[in-house]
Amino acid sequence: MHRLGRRLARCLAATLWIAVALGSILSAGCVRPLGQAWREISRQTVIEEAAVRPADPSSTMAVDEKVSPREPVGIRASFQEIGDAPSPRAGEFSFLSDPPPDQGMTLEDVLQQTLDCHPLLHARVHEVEAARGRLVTAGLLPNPQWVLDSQSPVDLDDATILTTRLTFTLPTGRKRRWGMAAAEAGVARSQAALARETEVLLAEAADAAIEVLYLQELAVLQGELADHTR
Amino acid sequence: MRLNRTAGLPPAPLVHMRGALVVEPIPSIRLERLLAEAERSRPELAESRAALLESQRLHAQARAEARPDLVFGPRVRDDLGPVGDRVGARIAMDVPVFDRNQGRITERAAMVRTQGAILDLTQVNTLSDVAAAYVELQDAQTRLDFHSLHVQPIVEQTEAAIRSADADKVLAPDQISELLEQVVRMRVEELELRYLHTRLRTRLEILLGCPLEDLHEAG
Repeated sequence: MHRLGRRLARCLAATLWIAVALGSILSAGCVRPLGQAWREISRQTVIEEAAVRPADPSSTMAVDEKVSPREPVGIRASFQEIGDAPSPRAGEFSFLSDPPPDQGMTLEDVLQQTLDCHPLLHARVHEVEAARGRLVTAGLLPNPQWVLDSQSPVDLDDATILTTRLTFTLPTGRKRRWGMAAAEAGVARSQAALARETEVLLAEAADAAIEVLYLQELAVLQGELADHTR
Repeated sequence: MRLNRTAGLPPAPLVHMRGALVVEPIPSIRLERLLAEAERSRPELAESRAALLESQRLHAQARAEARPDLVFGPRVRDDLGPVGDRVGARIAMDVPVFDRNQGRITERAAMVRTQGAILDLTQVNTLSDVAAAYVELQDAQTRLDFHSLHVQPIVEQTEAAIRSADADKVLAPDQISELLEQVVRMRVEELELRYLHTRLRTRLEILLGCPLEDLHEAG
């Protein structure tokens, strides 16, 4: 019994020693730089988001006199830029700090406002980002696996045996290639879904804006009608 | 209220629009040219095509996953003593006797066929929508042309005659009022035609992603 306890203690001590040694190697050579790199990436992402987000929300309401009322192409192109850029976080919509002007909006203003502020489009933009994340995941190789076994004879006074192995998994049959290709198609599909949703919203907004124009003119004519009736 | 919601604006204050419903005559465009443009630019078609491509690639991936991965690596044995250390290698792989990913391959193949059918359906629906919108717009344009050529001058002449009769006291005030009401109602009809035309034209241009004039020049 005494011998068994001694062997177990020896086995545990050896395992601990190896674990501590490996831990120190990893902390010196791998973990710390990875952590720094991750912090740098995070900081850079925050900076990029701040740069892409419009600094002045009132600029989204600016009237571009050069834009013809019949130019949804420019609007579509401008949306593609918006779709490529990170959108504002939840609760940071520009309309909260910049209500629509009292003097009225043009059709282009309404369409631009829809592109800038509609929460559904923000959600779709995030879905595209998620699809890009899946593309990154699909391109990764499986991690190698490190195994440490220790065994000690119970009855005999032999030395403790340590067995270490490092195994790599090699994907065959072009799995990674097909996975990445499928993820790329997924990104294209989510981008097309974003474009489709954008056009649906633009069509609805244009329809509502034209209806308001119609109702405004109708109200004037009904005023005339009321005058004649009197 | 509807405009605020569709534009992603808060419910108050209500948005007012600047300008008026101005009708621009539509250019003559061949229907084939219009449908070709829709086929090229409609995002739901692009989405369906991408979904079909994705399902095809997922099918290929499922077939690739039927092949087992290769696991290999070095192996070291230390006896914690002066002698007895050993070095070796390990190679392992599944033997695909029972599970050859048959189920996933069948599922993916069915998804490919489903996406193909959805693409066909989307194509039919989209092109029909574009064609219907264009035909409706042409009809609205014809009615507007007729109105501006034949009805509008008569309305203007009638209104002038009524004003003149009112000034000359030829008609009683209630008769004048009734006639002017009819004139205003005709203006309302003309406004409804302009509204329909503008709405259809804007919808069609958003559907096609370009002004109709561009298609006329290209065609």
